[in-house]
Amino acid sequence: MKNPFAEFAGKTPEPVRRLPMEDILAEHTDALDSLKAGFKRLIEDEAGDGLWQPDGDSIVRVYEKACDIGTDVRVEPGDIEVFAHVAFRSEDPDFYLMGPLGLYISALCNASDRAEITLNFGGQDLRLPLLGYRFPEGRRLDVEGHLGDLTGISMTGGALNVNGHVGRYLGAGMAAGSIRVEGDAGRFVGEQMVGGEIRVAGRLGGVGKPVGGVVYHRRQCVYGDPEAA
Amino acid sequence: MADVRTDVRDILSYVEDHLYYNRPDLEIGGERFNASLLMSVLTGLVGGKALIVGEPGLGKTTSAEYVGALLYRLPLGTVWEAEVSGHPEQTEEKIIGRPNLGELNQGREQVVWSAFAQLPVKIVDEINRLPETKQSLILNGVDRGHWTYLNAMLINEEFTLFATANYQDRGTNTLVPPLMDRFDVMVESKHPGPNLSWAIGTDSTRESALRDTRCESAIQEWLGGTGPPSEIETLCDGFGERVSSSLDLPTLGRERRRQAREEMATLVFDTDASALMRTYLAELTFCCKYGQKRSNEFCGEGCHYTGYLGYGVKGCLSNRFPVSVRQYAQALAWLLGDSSITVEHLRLVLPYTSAHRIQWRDDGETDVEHGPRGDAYLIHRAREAVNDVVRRYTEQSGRIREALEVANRAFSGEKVVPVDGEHPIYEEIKKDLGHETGRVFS
Repeated sequence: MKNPFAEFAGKTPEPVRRLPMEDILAEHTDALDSLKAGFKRLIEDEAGDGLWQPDGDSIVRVYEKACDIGTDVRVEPGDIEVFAHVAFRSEDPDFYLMGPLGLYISALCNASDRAEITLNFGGQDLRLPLLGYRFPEGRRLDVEGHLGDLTGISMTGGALNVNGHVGRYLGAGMAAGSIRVEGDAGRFVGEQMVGGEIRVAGRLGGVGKPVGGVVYHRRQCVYGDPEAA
Repeated sequence: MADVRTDVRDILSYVEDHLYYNRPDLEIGGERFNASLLMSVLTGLVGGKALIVGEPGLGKTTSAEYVGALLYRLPLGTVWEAEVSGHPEQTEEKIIGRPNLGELNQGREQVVWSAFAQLPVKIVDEINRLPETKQSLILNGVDRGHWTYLNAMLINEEFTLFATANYQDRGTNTLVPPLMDRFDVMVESKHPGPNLSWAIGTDSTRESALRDTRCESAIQEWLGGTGPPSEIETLCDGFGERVSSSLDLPTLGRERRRQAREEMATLVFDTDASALMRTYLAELTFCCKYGQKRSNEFCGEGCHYTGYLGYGVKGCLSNRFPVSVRQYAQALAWLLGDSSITVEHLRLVLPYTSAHRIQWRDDGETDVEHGPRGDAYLIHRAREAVNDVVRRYTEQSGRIREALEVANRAFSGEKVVPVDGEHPIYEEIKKDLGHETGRVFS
């Protein structure tokens, strides 16, 4: 019988990234404990019944609460990354609520005093939504790996770079700043954005209904006036 | 002399700007195309078969005529001569050929082949007005270009076929699945919108540029006689020169078409595109209960694979389908000047190569049919299906490619465990490796 797989000879996909979790956790124990406690407090206050729907009100409410908690928890970017990996792997039902988790991590990043933050989510099956919510001016957030829906929404400045795919509603409602996605983006890119710049290097599911700003798909401007921007 | 691709791009632009006015409704690599025109050009290039559907009078037949005339260097009048219209009284003698009555009176049997059977550009107008019993008359010819009448046979070394079909009305019939399967693509010629429609209405000079009455008469004479095959090439070349001097527009001769096909054949599917194609085929052919999809067997309630395409369809796709996908994806990548076939090319081509071949279950989603959409129902549904599979593939592309790579090693005799997974592709790979449970060798 003919080998129908011959063309895949030597085409091993990139190995899935395995983290030496035990070593990493040992280095971040204290920070992790306070991050976990903070997140559980957030869930208890805002989604105690285990349900959470991402609408305008609930996003603002959870984010503001997360900001309050974030000011009490002083952490380094490395702690945030480890916390995210622990949350992704956790069997605790509180950590199943990915929306609040995305907002919590966004609040931690926004509250950090670092001008540049790098988060490596490579090798994860789960895709964190809402990362980069209200990302502020003068800062840079580089993400390695795929993200979920509502990435970079309501950004007020700064640069968000994603070396992976993102879901729907990328940069929705953003007012300023720039988002660059090296992979694919889902539908409704730039929905209701009023300013800033979005660049998608991979496939683009569709542009939403922006009212300002510029959207590029690869080298082509698909929305807005680059000159005016 | 410009390269063939440039010539084809010039032809495409000319038809778009001067002959077939319609809106672009597809985008790939930053370029926008009208689907009907793009698919017609790709069909002409690969020597394929296209089923063009749409409302009456929206340019289904005329677009095919223009593309056929320019890609096959035939005057428009000759293309018209090779057209067959589908109607209930249509006969084999009008479509394929008839006895030479003069010779028959002398006791000799000789076939006079129709222009439709002889010429490389074939157009069947309103094919779904042919009754189902008469559709089989053209089945073999449509498939392979083999035409038989009495004891004689005519083989077309190269041909392309365009068939048009209106939507169901009192005079139309259902196209039988075997005939549908023989078409490589199905595409809709949409309404161009009021502004272009008015431009069409006010422009009366469009066709005349492709007419050449002297050449048409000479070809007609050749068709009825016994001249050598090279004679028609000479006649067509003369037409090509006249088009080139009057319109500054290239046309393709036989040699240039062959060259284009050779260039297309060198383009290969990249790893992702190949794995995606296998994933798509697995979803549309696999059934965990009966082994494969069959048109007389249905997955019942509680089927393990309700989330995949196979659950919602009847029957499986034929082996003509991957051939069509390969040819059209290669032609598209070639036309765009790309060096290999990627997922993007497949995403564009798959809805048109699948739409007429997938038989959806009658109890399937009706909200898709009645929901908002810009395409004809079958094309829209096929596009949605393709998007679903691409999404599923994107989510687990690494694992699927790993499964295929491991399968190659297993096939080569290495002792490795096949990769397991939920998607039907993993089960199909295991079957190829002889790991199928309950396998029966008789």
